[in-house]
Amino acid sequence: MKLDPRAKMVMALCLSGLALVYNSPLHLLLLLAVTVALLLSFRFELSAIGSYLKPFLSLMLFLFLIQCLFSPSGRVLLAVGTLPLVTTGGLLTGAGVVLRIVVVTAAAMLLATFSSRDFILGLVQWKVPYELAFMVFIALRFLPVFRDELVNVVTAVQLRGVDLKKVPWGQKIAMYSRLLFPVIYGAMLKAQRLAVSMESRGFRVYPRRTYLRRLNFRFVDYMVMLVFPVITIMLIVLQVS
Amino acid sequence: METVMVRGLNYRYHPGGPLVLKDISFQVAGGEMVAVTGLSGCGKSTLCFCISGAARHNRDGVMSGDVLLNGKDTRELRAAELALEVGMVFQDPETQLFSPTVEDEIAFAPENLCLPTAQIRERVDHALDLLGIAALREANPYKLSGGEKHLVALAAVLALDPPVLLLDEVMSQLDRAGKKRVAAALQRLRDMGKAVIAVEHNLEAVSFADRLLVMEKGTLLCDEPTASFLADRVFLNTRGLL
Ligand SMILES: Nc1ncnc2c1ncn2[C@@H]1O[C@H](COP(=O)(O)OP(=O)(O)OP(=O)(O)O)[C@@H](O)[C@H]1O
Ligand SMILES: [Mg+2]
Repeated sequence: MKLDPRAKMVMALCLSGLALVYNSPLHLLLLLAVTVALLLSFRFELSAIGSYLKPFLSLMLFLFLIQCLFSPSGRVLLAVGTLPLVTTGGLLTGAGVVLRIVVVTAAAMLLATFSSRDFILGLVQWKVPYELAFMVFIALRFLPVFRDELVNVVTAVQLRGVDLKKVPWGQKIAMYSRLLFPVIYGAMLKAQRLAVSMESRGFRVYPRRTYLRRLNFRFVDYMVMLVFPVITIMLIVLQVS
Repeated sequence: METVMVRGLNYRYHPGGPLVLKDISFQVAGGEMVAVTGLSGCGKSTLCFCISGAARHNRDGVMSGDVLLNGKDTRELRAAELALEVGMVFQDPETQLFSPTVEDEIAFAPENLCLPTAQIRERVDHALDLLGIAALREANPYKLSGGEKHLVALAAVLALDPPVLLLDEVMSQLDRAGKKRVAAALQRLRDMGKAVIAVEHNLEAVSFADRLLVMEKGTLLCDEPTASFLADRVFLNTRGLL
């Protein structure tokens, strides 16, 4: 299915909005199903979600355990003395928190189903100042580069025979902050050079600019942008009341 | 009037730092191409930064002397206004490509100039054809080879269509066919009346330049017609340029 990027932005906004309102795993699972179905209809490679979530796996596990332990309710499944450790209510809350992260990530993936050029066009045609649109675009564009560089630095350290797993936490933090510095410095240098290059090609020479392409709404786009917000607001009202 | 006029140019990267450019003066007319050569670290890229106005982004940099483009003092032009006078292909292609496709990259400059869509398309097609990279149109610039990136960066500047072109070692990573195409493109631009300044290590690649400037440790060693220069192999040899 082909949709205007702006329609997809609205979709992503609605879905993540709902994910923040819902608490129960059942609702969130339904939401996830809808999101995944949409992603599939845009021919999105689902495995990419996994690779995005992977770094947050331990954080998600941590959140799950915290919720399990500190929001006990319902039937006690496991207890130490009189202290309930695992409860049905705690498990559900924990699952809800984790699912919420998954849904928001999956919804954000909707934005990855169109090219960054369309992203700029979408924002600009929505009267967002083009400088701002480009700023967001450049940030998104270089985030993966930044990540790769960080990985490179860590690999370089490991190649020198330092086993990061064996370094104690205190030292590890000190080490990472020392490693981070050159990466951030490098990124800033790169950003500055990029700015010079963009300006030397006339970026911001006029308050306005033209575009090689133009996005045009079709009927489905209008439908999506009408139906999604209406349903979302209705569901939120239902949930809150 | 000379299109590019450099008069008594001095530059240091920091106040109190070493003089990277020392009293450089030369001129380039429209319809003329000069090649700039010299050993690594002699200041070729710095010279390009000064002429293109990119040097002023370095807040610590100290520049004295004049750079006039079409009679306009570069110090009096806004950064973006400079883009109307001069286009530069930087030595490192990595930091000048950012668009999702080659086509978008090349369209960037004419889009900034507020050209109508048809003209943007025309410029993109023309630049792609001129450098023989039409096949890369939909490619992601980030994933191209070093030589291809240079070609795309050059195409992106050609689409700006400035009266002065600065190329910092654009040909170094190109294969023979690529060099030939760039050379043909530069000759055509010269014939169209542009002033072209090409920094190049490999003198064979720019043997068609009208004049050759040799730099050494920040100074301009000589500025002579290319033909007489290339004949003087003894000089080239003693300077380590062959
Ligand atoms: N950002 C900078 N800060 C301080 N010094 C610099 C900076 N960039 C270059 N230099 C110094 O200025 C001198 C000239 O450098 P430049 O890059 O202009 O040389 P080049 O002739 O282009 O060399 P190459 O052929 O290797 O590209 C060098 O000694 C270099 O160390
Ligand atoms: Mg250089």
